[in-house]
Amino acid sequence: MVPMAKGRVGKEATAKEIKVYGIVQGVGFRPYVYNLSQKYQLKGWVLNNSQGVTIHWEGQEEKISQALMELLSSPPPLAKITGYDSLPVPFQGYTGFFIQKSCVQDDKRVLISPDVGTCSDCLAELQDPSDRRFSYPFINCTNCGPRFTIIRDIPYDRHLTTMKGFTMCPQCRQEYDDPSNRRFHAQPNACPACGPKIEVRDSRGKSCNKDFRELFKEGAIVAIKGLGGFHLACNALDGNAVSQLRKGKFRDAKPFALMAYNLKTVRKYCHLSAEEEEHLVSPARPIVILKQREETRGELPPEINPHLDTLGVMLPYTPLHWLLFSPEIPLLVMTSANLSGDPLITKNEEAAEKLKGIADYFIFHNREIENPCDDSVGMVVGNTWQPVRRARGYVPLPVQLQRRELTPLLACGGNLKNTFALAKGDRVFLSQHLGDLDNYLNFEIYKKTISKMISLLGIKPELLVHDLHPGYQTTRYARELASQWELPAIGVQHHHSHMVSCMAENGLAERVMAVICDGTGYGTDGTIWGFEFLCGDYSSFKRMGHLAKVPLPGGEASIKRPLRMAYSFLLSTLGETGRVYASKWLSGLSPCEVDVLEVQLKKGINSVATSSCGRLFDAAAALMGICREAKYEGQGPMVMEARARMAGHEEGFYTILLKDKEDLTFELDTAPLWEELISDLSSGLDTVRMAYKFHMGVARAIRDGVLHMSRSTGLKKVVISGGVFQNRLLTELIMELLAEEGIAVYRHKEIPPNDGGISLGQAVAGNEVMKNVRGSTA
Amino acid sequence: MKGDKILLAHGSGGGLSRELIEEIIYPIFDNNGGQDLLDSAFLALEGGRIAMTTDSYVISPLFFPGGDIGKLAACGTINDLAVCGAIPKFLSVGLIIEEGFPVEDLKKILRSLSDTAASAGVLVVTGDTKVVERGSADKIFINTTGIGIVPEGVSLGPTEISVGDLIIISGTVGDHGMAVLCQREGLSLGGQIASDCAPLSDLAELLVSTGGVSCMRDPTRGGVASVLYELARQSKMTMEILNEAVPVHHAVAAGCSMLGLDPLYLANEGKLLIFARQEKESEIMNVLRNHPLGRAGRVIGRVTSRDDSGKVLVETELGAKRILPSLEGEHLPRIC
Ligand SMILES: [Fe+3]
Ligand SMILES: [Mg+2]
Ligand SMILES: [Zn+2]
Ligand SMILES: [Zn+2]
Repeated sequence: MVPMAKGRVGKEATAKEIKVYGIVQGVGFRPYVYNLSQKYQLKGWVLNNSQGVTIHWEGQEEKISQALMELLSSPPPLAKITGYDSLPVPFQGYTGFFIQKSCVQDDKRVLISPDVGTCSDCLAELQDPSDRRFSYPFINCTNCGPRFTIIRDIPYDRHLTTMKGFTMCPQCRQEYDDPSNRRFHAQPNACPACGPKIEVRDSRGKSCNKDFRELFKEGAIVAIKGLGGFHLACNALDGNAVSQLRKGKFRDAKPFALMAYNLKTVRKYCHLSAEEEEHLVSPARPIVILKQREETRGELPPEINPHLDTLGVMLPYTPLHWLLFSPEIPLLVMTSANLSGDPLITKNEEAAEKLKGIADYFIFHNREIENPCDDSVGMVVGNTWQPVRRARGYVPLPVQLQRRELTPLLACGGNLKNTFALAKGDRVFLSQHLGDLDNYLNFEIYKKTISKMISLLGIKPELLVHDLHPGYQTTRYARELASQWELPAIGVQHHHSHMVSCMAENGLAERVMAVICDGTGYGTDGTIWGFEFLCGDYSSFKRMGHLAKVPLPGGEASIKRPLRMAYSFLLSTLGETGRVYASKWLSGLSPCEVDVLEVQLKKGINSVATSSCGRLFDAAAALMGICREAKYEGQGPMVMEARARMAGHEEGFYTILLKDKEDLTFELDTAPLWEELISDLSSGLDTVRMAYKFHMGVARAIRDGVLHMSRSTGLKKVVISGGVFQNRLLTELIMELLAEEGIAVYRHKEIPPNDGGISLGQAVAGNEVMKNVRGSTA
Repeated sequence: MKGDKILLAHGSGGGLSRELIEEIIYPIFDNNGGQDLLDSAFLALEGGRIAMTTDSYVISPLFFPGGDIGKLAACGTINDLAVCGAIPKFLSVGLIIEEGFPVEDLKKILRSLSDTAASAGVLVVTGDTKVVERGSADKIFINTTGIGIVPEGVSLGPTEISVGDLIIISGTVGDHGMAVLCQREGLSLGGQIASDCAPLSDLAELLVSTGGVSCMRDPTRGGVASVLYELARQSKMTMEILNEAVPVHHAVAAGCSMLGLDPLYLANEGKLLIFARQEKESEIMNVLRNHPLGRAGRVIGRVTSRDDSGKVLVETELGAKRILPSLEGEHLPRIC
């Protein structure tokens, strides 16, 4: 029974304690509750603890329910409520509403917020000449601003962030202390009087007093210290500047990201759907890969995105970015300033050293970047969001599992596009994208980030999970840690990890089918897999079918030079005929190279067998003459997809045969595909149409494979994953084909289908395998 | 000796055996110091610690540009002694011959072995011959054991490596590995590639006498990469090499790029990988430049810091530092 109020409080007065979980700290939650309490005339208090926010409300029962309803239905913009408890408690008779001091508890249920793009209130101040923060590049409030990138330790308090050195002026302090203020406990709160400052330097390191906007008008390349690292920027409409930048970055083909002043500019150069717009303006402010408009294509230098029909665009996400734009220059190239696969540059001195000779100017500031974090990238596929790279704006939010409790563990991730994952209970925390770990500096950051995240998240691993590839840095490191920490280490097959990633994201714990279209993954038989039809659950899988294997002559040599791959496919699938075709259509191979390839294929010198889907795309692109030498990963497939998208849907398809094997498994035979492709080449068919027929051929083969698996297993759900599914056209074709067959297709939505997502699968699969091991020995 | 093929009976210990030894083998090693080949050799050694090493040689093909299994059997063992700072003195030779092996080839191989040893001032002092049934061995296997003397005060090894040491290679890398591969698989890569097979004792002695060498290795199987990897672990150091500084014969480089191989992992049989004190750089480079086996020698890197697990980094042409992959999984692609 609820104790009754005495005296002046109305007789219906009651008291409730409400616990709110999720992202409820550092997002203006307490001032929000304060204001809500005023609105509903509720007394009591609110406090932050390490589980979340606890509210004690006293007042009319009806008012409390209304306040709670409002809290749940329209919380502060950045809050993410994952759950709440409401309990009747003894009535105390409070006379006002208070914000209590935080208290610390053990169980860390509070989530660290990712960085948040500038909110409209702060933006208005930035642009208001009468505001004391007019044009100040570090405006923020509890609804926006830096978070993850400045955090050194928890709890999230100013002195444990890189704002530590900046003492708030009296005015800022007052805002910070006032519960009704938008900046109440906004840790990075700052103003021109007390906060971080900008310094512009020229290429010789001399300070100069230039307006940022003027730099771009000069055609300069500018290195800018951003939120998670440095960018190199220039006016995107200035062909000279763009090609200068391309030379400087040693990237001869990889597309540059753009930053647009506003949606109007985005729409001028790109098609923009409602879903795409929603993500573009979301607080995470990712780079969204958009279809480029034909009409205005001519206005942009082709060096931005050679041979592609898409542009990666983001909107300004810090006040500093807003200040870069002017009416004359509404679009900037904004590429992360990391050279040749090195980590992001985050320090002023480092930028000055490494970017000299590339940057004409440097925009420095004196707030340190504690946690380097790349821009996130994603795209809308079939009306839903699909990440390509998950970093700023998302990390360190966890992937929330359904009905799963994981042992505290560390999943070490892949070797390229690495992310690792720390998991505990129903949450899996993926690190930001850390890149290629064969790069020494990346690997050092990887190791550092692991220990950092372990302490930030308070997860002490009891299990290590890794890939099966013996050459991955992550495999070796997992084993090293395992012996150092005396923990068990479990290997999970690469494509099983991909599969489980997608299952876990979609809450599928039962046996399902999977199609994994990938570049390179170490198989359980020691060969390289990549076009796999699997069937299984979290703990195990069976390989039901795959692309018929071909040799990968020279390993990585053939990945970098797709012409070699085309040769291998033609020879392995068509034999002598293939050799004749090769001599006619693969003229890019020198006679000497062909001799070597022949010997290599015949004798198997340094030629592991592969069923990779990425290689199939590479080979087709090379044969069509679209991409003979890959200057960046996935170049051939990306250019081919761009071509295929220009085609109409009536173009037809190339044939891939599904060949039954005795044990209910099957192989995909591409011999007819190559015959048909060669015949189209001979008749001079446009590559646009060939590219489409290829895509449709692969999509149909996937459908056939899925139906075959479905018949032999009775399953109706399929997950699709693997780097190849960054291909929007292929994904959409498959979804269409399988929908007609009554098969439910599940895709990624929070993490990338590429190797950036496998740490999630490793975590969930590794946990399950360990459970079984423990169960069987118990 | 009658017949041009080795018969099982040549290994029986009977008359044919005696014929083989007396008519074929003795004359070849005759110029080797004139020792009677008794059951045991009596060796007079003075002036330091004795170093001893043994190695067995199995290679296909037996004859390759730049050498053969005989030369290899002499060089390999001599070089193993030389890199420890020892001056090689004596060699034993054990032969396992497959029935039917051509006598002419045997002569060629033994002559080559003998000449190589002689050129390095090394005496072949004892030996053994066995003939096995067809199929029980692949043509011919050779074991050699070598004995040398380590002069007073010479101490080389991983524990002597210190931060700041230069990493020097005495010439182009990968020649032997590529030459043998091409010969075996019938690859022609345009240019002629010959094995670098050579005894390094003379060069090694000159280098050691500068007093600036902390450690030396002959990067045979597994190449420069594997030696660096092993030494980095043993010495608990970070070793950094500059990819573009590593000398590679252009034909070897071309072959590697076509086959998807890395010359750093290919075998050498006539190269020294030298860890040297920085202040002795010019002296050491002088020795190399003035020696026929060291003319293409170059500084390829440095020992940069201590690291308990030991690591090797390769700086690429673009300035990025990559972790040198260990041999396991080296040929398996990792990129997507
Ligand atoms: Fe993968
Ligand atoms: Mg040896
Ligand atoms: Zn704000
Ligand atoms: Zn202030």
